[in-house]
Amino acid sequence: MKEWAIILIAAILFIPALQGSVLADRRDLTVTPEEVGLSSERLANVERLMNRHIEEKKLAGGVVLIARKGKIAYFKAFGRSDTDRPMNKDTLFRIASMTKPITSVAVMQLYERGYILLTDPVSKYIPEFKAPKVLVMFPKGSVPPYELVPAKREITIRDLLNHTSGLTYRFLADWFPDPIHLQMAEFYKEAGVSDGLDEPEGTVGETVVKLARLPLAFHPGEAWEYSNSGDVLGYLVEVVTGMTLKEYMDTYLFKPMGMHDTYFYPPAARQKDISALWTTDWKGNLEKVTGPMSMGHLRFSPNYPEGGVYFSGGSGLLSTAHDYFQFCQMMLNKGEIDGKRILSRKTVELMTATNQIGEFDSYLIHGKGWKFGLGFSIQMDRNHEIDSGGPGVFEWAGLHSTRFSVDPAEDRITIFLHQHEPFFHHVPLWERILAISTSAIAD
Amino acid sequence: MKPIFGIGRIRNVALLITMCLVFVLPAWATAPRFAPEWFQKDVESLPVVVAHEYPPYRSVSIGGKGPHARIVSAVFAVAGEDVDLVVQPARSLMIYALSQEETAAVVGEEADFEGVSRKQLVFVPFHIKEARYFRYRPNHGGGSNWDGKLENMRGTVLGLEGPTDVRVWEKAGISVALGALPALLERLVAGEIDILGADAERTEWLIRKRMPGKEKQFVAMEIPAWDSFSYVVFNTNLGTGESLAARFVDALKRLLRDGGYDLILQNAGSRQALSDMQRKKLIQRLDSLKIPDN
Repeated sequence: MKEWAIILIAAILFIPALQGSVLADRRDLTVTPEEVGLSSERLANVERLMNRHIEEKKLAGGVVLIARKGKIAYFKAFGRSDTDRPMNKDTLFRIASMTKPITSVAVMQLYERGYILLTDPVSKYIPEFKAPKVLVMFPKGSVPPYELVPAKREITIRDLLNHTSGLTYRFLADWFPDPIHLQMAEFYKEAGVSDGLDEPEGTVGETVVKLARLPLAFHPGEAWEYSNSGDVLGYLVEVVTGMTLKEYMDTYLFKPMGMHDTYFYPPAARQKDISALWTTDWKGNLEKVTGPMSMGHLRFSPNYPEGGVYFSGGSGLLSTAHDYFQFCQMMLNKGEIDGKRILSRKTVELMTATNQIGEFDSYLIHGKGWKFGLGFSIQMDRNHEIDSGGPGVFEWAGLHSTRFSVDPAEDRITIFLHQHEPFFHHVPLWERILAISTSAIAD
Repeated sequence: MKPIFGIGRIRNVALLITMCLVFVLPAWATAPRFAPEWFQKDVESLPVVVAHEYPPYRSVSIGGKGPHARIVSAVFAVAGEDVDLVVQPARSLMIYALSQEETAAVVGEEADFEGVSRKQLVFVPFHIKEARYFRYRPNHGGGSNWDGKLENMRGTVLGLEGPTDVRVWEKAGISVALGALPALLERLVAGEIDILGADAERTEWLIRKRMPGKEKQFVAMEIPAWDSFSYVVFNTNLGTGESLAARFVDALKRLLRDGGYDLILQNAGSRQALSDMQRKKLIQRLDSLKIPDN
């Protein structure tokens, strides 16, 4: 037989075997809800809820994954991922700020290995952060409208991880249109500091050194303020390791964690599997976003072309529900997944079970009763309006409407991925899905 | 009378020192691992000269901060002044530094000072930038030069960075569209404007950065469109501004005449050396400057 024919036959036999093994891994994790103490009957409410929202054209589609005791008990795709494609379990989503917890893990690996201390000033690694100044607004009509005062202290790595650095986000001027946020948004816009979602040009390092020279919204450590500190942390990883953030994450996170479908810029072969991004008014008007667009101070683009080099540690990743489950499971397992140790148990506890922001509240998507660890918001009690199942639950979200929740007490993970702007419309739906996930616990 | 340093007293002092060490050393071992100076205001590094982002001429992302930063620092050095040149990412922060902080001088273009009171300021030109007219080959081909006559562009739509006085172009029958340079470049590619008139080095840098692979599609017309100055603007409010400006001017003239200026530009990677005409123009402007006495 000719050599080429042998190769062809081998390929025909071997490639499906390889594909099969990947799928088999995933199937191994799938169980019936009852096997892990969840009620199928109660989980069926997710389907009813999702289908109703899709019929009402509030959203085009989404994926819900609920896991318990290390097994996937509920994993369904709903609706459409694009005008001409159904949603499926392997659809890629722009996870935006759900990148931040992953970047935080990268930073904590450097901490564990002795490369950095959480108390280190960021300027030790990125000198542009030396001697920051803080914006103080004068009453309306004053000339000049503000003054810049020296910060009481420098920003530390810990401040970046728990969002008390004094940095902010440009889009927050839409959420909190007070003089400080509006002026900060002006500074960020004038300096061309991207929120990381709008096909930014250059490298993230170029943005970070500009950001470093801009005033802070408050003195470091004196308020909790969500920000693009994730980009600074990502660049910090690059400075400390000499690798790009992509290289670092591929090597030390995605490969060992089995996250084979998580990218900053998906390869050409996977581009068609990226969900469309939609705008919705939650009243039946859904529109596909086809190019860069603005919504108030927020600028975003659906495009993440192969070969991009802007590796945003704050908002740059695309992933699947299954890959993000792997990440959540690693955190739930106290740092270990599939026999690979990513972080130590003590470090995971520091990140997800320890309040790092004192008296402040993690108010952006949660509120009273929620604190912040290092990269994650943590539920502290059940006495307040946002309840994800109990104290100790840790969560975060992505601005294009992606959510995850990890419940260590019940050994449970809930993930809901879809792609709709603006973010706030889906919040009641997410809370209902979480309530269903919680009330499905039947042991 | 007992001796001051008797055996007993020496023993007691030795005991005291030992006790101090016993209690203090563990405290050192467990002390916070940060240096206090990380959390203190750095009064030593007060910026003297503030510029703002204007790549490729000056930018925090460019090694050595770009040709403008190199020239200004070198001229100050020749004038006997070591300056800390800070590049701010936003123009408004540069203006704030000039008006509200103890900043000796700032670096910028004429348009940066629109609406800023010039009473206490001394404008010293230190560089001349060349502007060109650009066409986009796929839309208009590579031909047609303006040959130094605006009427050759009659009937076209010209994109210019605003705000600017457009009367001279409109008088020649040219429609002018104002905008920011990145937006104008996109409009040129989209065919919404026929010609773009802008700083040549900055435009070519932006094309390389934003439209890699398309560089050859942009044609810069042969004859330069106009020249414009960049300035170091001295603040006379501080009391030392005039003398500093005078020394800066002397040092700059020296560098322009002895070739040091060209060497700095070349080392900073600037694509454009000063022409003899530009050098003459710059020196003439410096000669005609009237810097008020202290």
